[in-house]
Amino acid sequence: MRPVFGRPGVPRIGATAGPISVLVRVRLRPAGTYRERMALPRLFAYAVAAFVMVNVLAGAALVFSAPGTAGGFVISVLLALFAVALGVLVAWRRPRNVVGPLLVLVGASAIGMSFDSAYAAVLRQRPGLLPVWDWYVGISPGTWMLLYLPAAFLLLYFPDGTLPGPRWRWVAYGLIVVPVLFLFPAAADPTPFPPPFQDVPHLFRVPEPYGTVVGIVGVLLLPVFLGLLIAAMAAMVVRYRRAGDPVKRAQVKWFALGALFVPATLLLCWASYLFVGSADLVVYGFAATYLALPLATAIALLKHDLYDVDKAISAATTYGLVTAALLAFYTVASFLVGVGAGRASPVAAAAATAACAAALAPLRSRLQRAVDRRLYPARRAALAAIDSLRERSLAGEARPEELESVLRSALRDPSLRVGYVVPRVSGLVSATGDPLDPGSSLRAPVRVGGHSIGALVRGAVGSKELLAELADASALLVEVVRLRIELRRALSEVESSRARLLHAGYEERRRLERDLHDGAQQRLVSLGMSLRLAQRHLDDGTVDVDALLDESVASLGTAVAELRQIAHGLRPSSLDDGLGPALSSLASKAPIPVSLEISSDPLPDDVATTAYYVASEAMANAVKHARPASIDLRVVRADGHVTVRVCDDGLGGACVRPGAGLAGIADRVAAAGGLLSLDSPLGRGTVVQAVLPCGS
Amino acid sequence: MRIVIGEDSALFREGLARLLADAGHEIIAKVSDAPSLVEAVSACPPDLAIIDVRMPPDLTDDGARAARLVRLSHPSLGIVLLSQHVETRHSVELVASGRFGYLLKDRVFDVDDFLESLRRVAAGGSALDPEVVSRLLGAHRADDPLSSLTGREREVLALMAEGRTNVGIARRLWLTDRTVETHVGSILGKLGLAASDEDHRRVLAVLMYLSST
Repeated sequence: MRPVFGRPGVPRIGATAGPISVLVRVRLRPAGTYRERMALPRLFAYAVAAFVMVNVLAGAALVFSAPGTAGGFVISVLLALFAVALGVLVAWRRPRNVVGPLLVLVGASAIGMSFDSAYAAVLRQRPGLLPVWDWYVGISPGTWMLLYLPAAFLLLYFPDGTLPGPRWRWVAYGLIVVPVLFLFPAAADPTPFPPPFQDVPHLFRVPEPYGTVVGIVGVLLLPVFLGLLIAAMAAMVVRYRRAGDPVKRAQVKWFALGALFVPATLLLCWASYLFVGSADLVVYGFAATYLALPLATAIALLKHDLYDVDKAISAATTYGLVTAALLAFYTVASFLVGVGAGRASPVAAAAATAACAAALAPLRSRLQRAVDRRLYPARRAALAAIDSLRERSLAGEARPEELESVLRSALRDPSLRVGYVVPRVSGLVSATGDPLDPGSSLRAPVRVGGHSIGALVRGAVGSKELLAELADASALLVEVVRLRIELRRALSEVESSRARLLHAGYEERRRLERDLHDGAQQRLVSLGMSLRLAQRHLDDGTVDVDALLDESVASLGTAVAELRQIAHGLRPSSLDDGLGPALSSLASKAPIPVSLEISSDPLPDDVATTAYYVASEAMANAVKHARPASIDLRVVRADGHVTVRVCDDGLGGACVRPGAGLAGIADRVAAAGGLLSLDSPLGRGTVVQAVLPCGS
Repeated sequence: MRIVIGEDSALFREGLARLLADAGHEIIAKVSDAPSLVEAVSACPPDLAIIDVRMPPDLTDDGARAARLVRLSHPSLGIVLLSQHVETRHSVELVASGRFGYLLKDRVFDVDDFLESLRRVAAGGSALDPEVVSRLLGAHRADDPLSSLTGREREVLALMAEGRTNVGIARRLWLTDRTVETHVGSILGKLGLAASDEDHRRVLAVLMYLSST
């Protein structure tokens, strides 16, 4: 079957409405309440990020003073900025998640390490330029353990900010206690500090033989620390194994791989001492760790929808590119204008740049699409799929009901559902009209003009922002499907109402047939028999013919009365004088006072008959069930409609039960193209109102 | 004859009883629903049972069902079903089984003919309402053997189907017995039915023929 709205000759919706832009407004604002915005992990992340920036500047100053250290410093700054940027991004999207601050701390460790070596280099090359803090040098032999901590904690808490299980907290405690303990034996080591600090006195001196004991304790702490790092790595592996969802699995996969670098770096450090005699090699281990973990995080963010940052990154990239293009253009324009006019003309350059900006505005959407394709494949694919479905639907090549399957394949989410809101049904229904119970899954409402018309419900985890955007893009299709469901329901209601009317008509005819057979016909047959009997005995005098004939005439009278009653059932004969008199007569027979207000216009016969039945059924119901003190009956004609309204002040609580009188009346009213409404709150009376179309 | 009447309309029941009593029949029971009818017949078997097709308790075809039940326990009992309307399928089937009558209620107006039908059924014959017969005849196609019958032969066939004897037919049509016999022979020949001296068999054959197409 061709879709209804794709038929030739029918105006195509898209032709007038215009295509809904693929690019929906980019909302770059942190979500959530004040408390969430001011969450501690986020504030900490921002503070550490600021501290790192200060360190970068200070480090740059140091590097200026000590030539030859710039290479290592630049690399560590790049590593640090990468990790810090990611950390800030995560803290912005997930204010309560500790992963954000931990990523920033990874960056801080990287910068701290190179800051340290730059400080040493400056002191070596230009002694006396900087002060030497004894305490700083004093504890420095043990601080290397701290460099592992952000990475190790990341392994424990990535990606959702919680431990994989309650028992893992011992690992976390261990990772705090062991490095702090280690500071003391390390500081107590009497070996002179490496140059240029060889003259700095040791802060902690432990007398022999305790010095040896403390030294042994320090050495013993090393394998414990290695064990803790391995445990942290194991946490990642456990997380990877436990993730049932393929998306979650993909999110942690690279990170689990990156986790390997953490204990490996420690081993590398010891190997370095064994083979090189110093800890030089460890720098490479740290570099690998500091690169691997943020990189794995970035992959999870970009490829696997972690923390919903796709759109932010994609939008930021697009705006960055547009800005860069504008700056470039401004530079070139200033230069050219300067060459052409012989002097710098900022006004002309600004004008040219403004023109360029105007030209770039339409380009931005193309650029965004191109960027999306690289950075945000799910969004791109889903929006394109919705677009294509809309085009094909308008061309009559597809049905808008396919939206669900299209989104399922675009988002690779086989249990995604599209729910529709239809009148008189609470909750969502599927495209086939069956009730839909999506449970508490992630969902995004579809709105048109502020009204909710449906919802997209994800089966698997996914980006809420993306879902909301897809919901916006699907609005037209959802509306079309929704209208089609509504139409289908209305048609089926019409069909069943027609069937009920037919059945009611059949029942009515059956009842009439029975009334005729059992009443008038029987009476007439027996009348015939009596007359035959009278005839047979007309002359012999054995039967009182006179009485027999009287009896016969009386019986004939009864038969006529019965026939009249049956005819009245077909159409109330009192209607011959008009609806008003008929209802007056009805009201006068009621055992309760009835106040009448009936418009005096003559109504068409069919409308009058329907109105009469509504009034008589509603009044009969009220008298029978509601025990009212009075009934108010109004028939008003206005604007091509006749409104019949029957109010009582009785018990209320009436409802339209299938097969009961009111249901039959509702069908009768529906067949006349009208609408019957019932308002019957318990204890506050009943209002039955029928609005019937009445052309002239 | 000793007669049981099963009829729920009191008016008609009493009128009928009066008519039959007036004609010299003995009404041994008057009942108004199907179960009491079966009971009354078993308690004191009559010569004839007159039963309304529609009776309590179900007010559908309770009378007809009671008639079949009674027929099983009393095969020699004559049964006449009275109905308000024409119904061919069950009526033909019942009447063809012999000792059965199926008449519309208004047939009582022709008192003599009605009483004659009752007598015939009680004596082992059949009585099928002329309305039913005319429907059976009317339902036939133009090209079947019925169309080769003359007008008079059709009249005779209709009366045969009603269950009448040759004598009855002759009286009805103001013909001599011999002429009727000739017509009957011709009709049976044209329709390819075997001649039989027994009235009931003849009715059966004719009804089977009429209702087969």
